[in-house]
Amino acid sequence: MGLSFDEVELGTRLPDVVRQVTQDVIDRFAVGSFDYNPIHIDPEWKRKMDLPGGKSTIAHGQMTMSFMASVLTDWAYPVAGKITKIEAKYIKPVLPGDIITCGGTVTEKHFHGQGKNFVVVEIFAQNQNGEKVAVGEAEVILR
Amino acid sequence: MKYQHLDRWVTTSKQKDFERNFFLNAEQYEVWDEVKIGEEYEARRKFEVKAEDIKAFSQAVMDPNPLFNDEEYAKKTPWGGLIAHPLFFTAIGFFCTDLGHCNWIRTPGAFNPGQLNLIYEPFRVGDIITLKLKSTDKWIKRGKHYLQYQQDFINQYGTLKVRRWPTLIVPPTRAEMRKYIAAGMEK
Repeated sequence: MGLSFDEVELGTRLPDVVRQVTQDVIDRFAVGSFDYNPIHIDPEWKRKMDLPGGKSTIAHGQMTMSFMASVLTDWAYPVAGKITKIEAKYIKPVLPGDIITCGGTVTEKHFHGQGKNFVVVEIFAQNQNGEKVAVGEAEVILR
Repeated sequence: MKYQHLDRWVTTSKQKDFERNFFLNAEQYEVWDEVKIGEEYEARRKFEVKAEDIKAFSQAVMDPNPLFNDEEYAKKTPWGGLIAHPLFFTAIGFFCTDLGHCNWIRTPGAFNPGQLNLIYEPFRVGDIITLKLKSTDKWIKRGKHYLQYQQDFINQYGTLKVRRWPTLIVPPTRAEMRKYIAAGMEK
């Protein structure tokens, strides 16, 4: 798989990133991100609330998106590719116990000249049941 | 300190001193029906990026990429030094957001349906980041109250590093928010 702009082909599938989510993993992300919203870290509070995820805490959307971004950085950062845009929509809550697989596919190439050429990568995260939990898109400048 | 069981994940000085109890001073949160579009705020707290912050975030997202973790390795790459994971703005955003205007992101009962992020430069050691916020849209859809706002992350040289538009679903009224707060204060 080529990694220069000229070599990358439409339909190129980026290597997956797989992460096992547990309450410990969510707790560690809370500390790392300073996001102590109780919806993520307070099971007792969450059980009483009518919020997504039923009676369970839910993982931070930012954590899921971080996993999706790691698909891009694993692929592009070693050759100094630059992520300039990343967007995501969360479809389904990620719960403790989920195994999240993230991946991406190159869907567009934009020809703006050396140093500005970029590709669009459609990215996704899905759980162990094959259900999409998040989808998004990113732009990556490649040399 | 609330949530003391999280102490075992603390690795940085910022994490050690950060207040974890988002239920405190809850009346200072802004709820959906109080938000005025175009409202702007500059967070009082700044984020000085240290190597330990970049490494801690990398560990929190379970990404062992040496560009985020190994200064000596990173120096020898085209990046020329340690850079932060692209979602590092999350940590800066929460660290800088205190009580007061535009603090919706901390509100108990709020959750995150999506976002758009433009990344101009990666965060690096030595950046001192100021966070600016502005409410840009609010709407109701299928009974949920959405709020969209803009966050700008600007370093000490005036370089805009990241501009993003997070969307939140937030408690619509102060009475609704108090329901979430009360349940958290019962313990």
